[in-house]
Amino acid sequence: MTLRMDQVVGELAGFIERYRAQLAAMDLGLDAAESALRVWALDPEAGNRQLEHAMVDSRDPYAVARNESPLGVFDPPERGPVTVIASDGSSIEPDRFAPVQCFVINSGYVVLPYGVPAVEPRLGAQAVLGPDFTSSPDPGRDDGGDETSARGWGVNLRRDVHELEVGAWAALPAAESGPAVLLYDGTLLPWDLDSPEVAIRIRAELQERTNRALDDIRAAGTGISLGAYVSGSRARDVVTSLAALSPGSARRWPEADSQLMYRLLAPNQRSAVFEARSKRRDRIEEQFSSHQVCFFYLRVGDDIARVELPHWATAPEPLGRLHATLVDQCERCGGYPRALQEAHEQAVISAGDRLQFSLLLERAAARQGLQPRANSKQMSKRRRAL
Amino acid sequence: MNATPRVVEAGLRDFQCAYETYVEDPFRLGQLVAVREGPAVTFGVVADIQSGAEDPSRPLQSQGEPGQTAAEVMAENPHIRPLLRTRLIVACCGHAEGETPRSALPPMPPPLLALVEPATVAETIRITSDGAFLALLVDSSVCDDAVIAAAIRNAAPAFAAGAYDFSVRAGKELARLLKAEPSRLTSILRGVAP
Amino acid sequence: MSTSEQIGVVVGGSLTKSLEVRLDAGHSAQLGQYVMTPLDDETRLLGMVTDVLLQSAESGPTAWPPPAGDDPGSRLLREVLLDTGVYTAIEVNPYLEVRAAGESTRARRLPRHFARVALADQDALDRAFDTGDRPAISLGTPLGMADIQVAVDLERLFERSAGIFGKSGTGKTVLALQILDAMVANSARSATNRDRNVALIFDMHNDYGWGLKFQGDGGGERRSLKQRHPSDVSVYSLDANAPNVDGLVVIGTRDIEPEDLAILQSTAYFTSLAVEASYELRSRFGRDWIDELMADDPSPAVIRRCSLDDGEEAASWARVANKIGIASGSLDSLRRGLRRIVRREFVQSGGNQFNQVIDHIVQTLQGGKSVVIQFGARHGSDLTSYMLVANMLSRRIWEEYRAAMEKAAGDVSKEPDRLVIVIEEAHKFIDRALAGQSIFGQIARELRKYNVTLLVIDQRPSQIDPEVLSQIGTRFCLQLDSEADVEALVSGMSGRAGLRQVIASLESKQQALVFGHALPMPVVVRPPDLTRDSAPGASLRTRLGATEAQSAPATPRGLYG
Repeated sequence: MTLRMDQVVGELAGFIERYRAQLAAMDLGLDAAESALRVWALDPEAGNRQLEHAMVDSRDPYAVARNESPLGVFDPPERGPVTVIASDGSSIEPDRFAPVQCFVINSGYVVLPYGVPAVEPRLGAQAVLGPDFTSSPDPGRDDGGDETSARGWGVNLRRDVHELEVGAWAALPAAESGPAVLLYDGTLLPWDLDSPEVAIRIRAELQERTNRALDDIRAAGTGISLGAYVSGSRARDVVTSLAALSPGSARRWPEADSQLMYRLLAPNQRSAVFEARSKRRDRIEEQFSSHQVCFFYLRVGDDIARVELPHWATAPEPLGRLHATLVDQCERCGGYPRALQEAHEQAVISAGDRLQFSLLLERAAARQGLQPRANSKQMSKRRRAL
Repeated sequence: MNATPRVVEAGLRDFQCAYETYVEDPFRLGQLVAVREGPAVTFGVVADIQSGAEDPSRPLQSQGEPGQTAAEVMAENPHIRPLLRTRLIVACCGHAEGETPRSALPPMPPPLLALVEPATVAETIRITSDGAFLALLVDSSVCDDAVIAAAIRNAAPAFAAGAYDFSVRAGKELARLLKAEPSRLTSILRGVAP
Repeated sequence: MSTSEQIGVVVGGSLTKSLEVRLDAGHSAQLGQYVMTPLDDETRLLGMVTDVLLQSAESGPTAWPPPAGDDPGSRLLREVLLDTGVYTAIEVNPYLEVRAAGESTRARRLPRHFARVALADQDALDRAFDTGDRPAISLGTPLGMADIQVAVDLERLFERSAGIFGKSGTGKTVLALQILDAMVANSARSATNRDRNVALIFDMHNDYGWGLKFQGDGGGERRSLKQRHPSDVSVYSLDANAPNVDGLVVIGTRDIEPEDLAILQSTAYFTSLAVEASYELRSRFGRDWIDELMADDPSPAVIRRCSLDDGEEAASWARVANKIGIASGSLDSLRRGLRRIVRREFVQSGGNQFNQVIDHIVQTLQGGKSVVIQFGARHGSDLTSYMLVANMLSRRIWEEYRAAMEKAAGDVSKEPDRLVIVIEEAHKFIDRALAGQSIFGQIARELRKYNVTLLVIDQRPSQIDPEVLSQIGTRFCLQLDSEADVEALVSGMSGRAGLRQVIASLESKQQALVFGHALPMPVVVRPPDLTRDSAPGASLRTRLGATEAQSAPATPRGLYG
């Protein structure tokens, strides 16, 4: 017997007791959160004003009530004929040992008509090779990464933006033939838009493209719903707001909004739509003034998903269509929207494809006289020869 | 949607072709088809037809409500059809360089991605009339007795009033090829009769 | 090369036995038909179908026959298997190589594998059976070819002995009559005795004289030789009251020699011991030996010659026998037999009559006329009379012929006309036991040394001495039942297995297989009908295609001009 039972068994009782205490504390926290929510719901305007004050010195994200009561829970309406469009992206990162450093972004998309005969189902992908060397690089600006090195290329950011553009490209024609729902995976706005590692020029270009894509979607009218889907959300915007609305409370608040929502929502129900606010967000929001980020929570089985959407997409008709479609899509795919699953499958770059790209790159470079750079560590192994 | 398959794998003795997606009415077993691109026209007989998921790591699951037809299930799940493929295996049984068709293997495989079309009545008559194409089918590793019977059965209507005589001619050629396997001959001929 | 439709291809065989031909789908062939196949560009092989076989290429189809149903699947299966898994083959006896120009010769080569085989056409048969301008006798139409006639070269037919065989009712007599009719017609127009054949016919049932009782179509009577050729045929009879005869055959007791009696052993008239005794008695008693023996008691002359006049006992035939050294039982048997003979109406006591008859007949023959010896109703069914008279006459006439030939000593113009002796029931005359004693055996064996041949008409060839039978050159074979008879006829012939089969398949009437010396190859024929109004010499062909009835009347110029 190698386990020192004597060192641990004695601890067990106390351990479990402390855990139970924690559970009890968590429950109390949830109770408090729920109470706070009820209070807020009594006068959402007053609550919002309070939150504005609290946000001034904080970098945390807050949720602000909009047109619906913060305590509101909503059943999905009946789903009518709809075309569901989704896109997802993946990438091949630059390889420092390759003869030519480059990246590949592959965005998969699907167009799935449900009861819309005029639309043909499509599955596909769009790929781009980068970076674009034709425009002059921007070296040495102290506020942004060095564009001349791969680290400054912002591949992830480019991917997110490409994914957004491909989704819009696939959705707009479909929306002409009937109601449509466009879904993305992840947050609505690309995450790295404020990352200092990415060169400023690139960030600026991508920000403009993001705006344009969202503008195009908005221009298509209320016939197209838009939602960015995050399953198993760990966000705590609402909890942060509730805590701010209950100052001086010593309660231990829930760690994530999902815990509270799990209590409030029955399967397939959504929460009220909140506005996402933060200092950081404000910075970004300057750049996207016409696309304010809102969100709601959706219970899918035992999972709480967070769905982000721009403020102009929260009108009752597109919102209801979005809710109903998400419920239907998740039923078809074991708790995750079918369209997003298929878009992901179209985007994935398999190991075989990665290897093949690498080989083709080497061959093409060799034809033009470029050899891969030697790896110094690999070289050191050769130097060991006597 | 293009309903004409294209060559996706090619050899001298047989080739595979695939539709872009799943089709419910592909070429039939035993049908004579032609690939007209390339230095020679290649003729072949459909020996196998398979439909299923394109990606073997994503097999098609059985789904649908009780009483729903396949078409209804497909309509309700529009992502499925684009992920399916219908593939055919075709056994080569002749070729034509210039005007004259011959019941011999083509000199080279048909080009990849070439269109695969049904053979015309005139082509069917020229390739099958003397029964010599059967020797290639009997020797083919992708053809079994059902394919050979279907090939004769499908070619016969091209001969109009002479269809029965063609069946007899083909049967006699088979009798010569299968003289050591009389029970095989019998089972094939049973499959030939209309 | 002919464009006859192909019926099959050669798939095997041997020159000494037969070719195997696989028939194409939908074709058939019968026993006895002719087929031809190319040997090279110029030459065709001509042969006769001697067997038809159903073969299977594999054991499958016959071990598991296709279903007999009418559904499309079963029909298709049967039709495919016929002529592939199973097929019809024929065996063909190869006989002749027929050239586009020139003579036909015996087959010495075989065609190649897969040579096409077709039914023989008129051209091939004409070349094969070509008799040129020589006189020939039409045999009728070959099997399966109703618009072709084949003929046998007359000269070659009578070069050697010939035979007409078949069981009763098959038409031997009609055929013999047609042949003899043609022969007489030919002789009538022959200028020299080199080209002439005359016949001495021992006519058992009065068929060859005035009229023939016809049992075929419509029955009734047909004109026989005398009616057809009044000035070329003489008829003799044993019957004094017979009508339409030119002479009577009478035998005297002094004319009968012991040799004449030997042949009657087969009719059980005389035992061999009795025949032996007769030689002894003849030498003792001279030419009157029979008259002497007919007396109830020995005459004084007999007593004297036997030295019985010692007075001891009364002379008796028993004592005579004892004295001579023969068994008395044999002597009694001899006397009994002789008594039965001398009772016949054509046997008279004395001896000159017969020589006159012989001389008369010989003169008639030498004059270019044929002679019919009719036995008629009274004697025709009496085999003993038939054999006795035929043997006696033939022996003596043959002796005359031999003398005449030796006298001519090679000078053809002095030679007598060629003689054909026609006998029926030949097996009685020339069976194994008697072949040595019978004149006919001798004639047959000596070929045509003395310008004499036989035409035998018989239904039991198996009983004829095989050595004699082998000398019979041309054989006309009608239907035969007994295997032994068939075997006897074909023995020694090449391809006899096939011939056996063909004979076995002959119809009971109007179908004959003719083969042998006079023919280039065997042929199954349907002899011409013997109609009431058929012209004399109807079967004679003087030149290719022309019959006697069609050709111009015989004048020296018209004949060969």
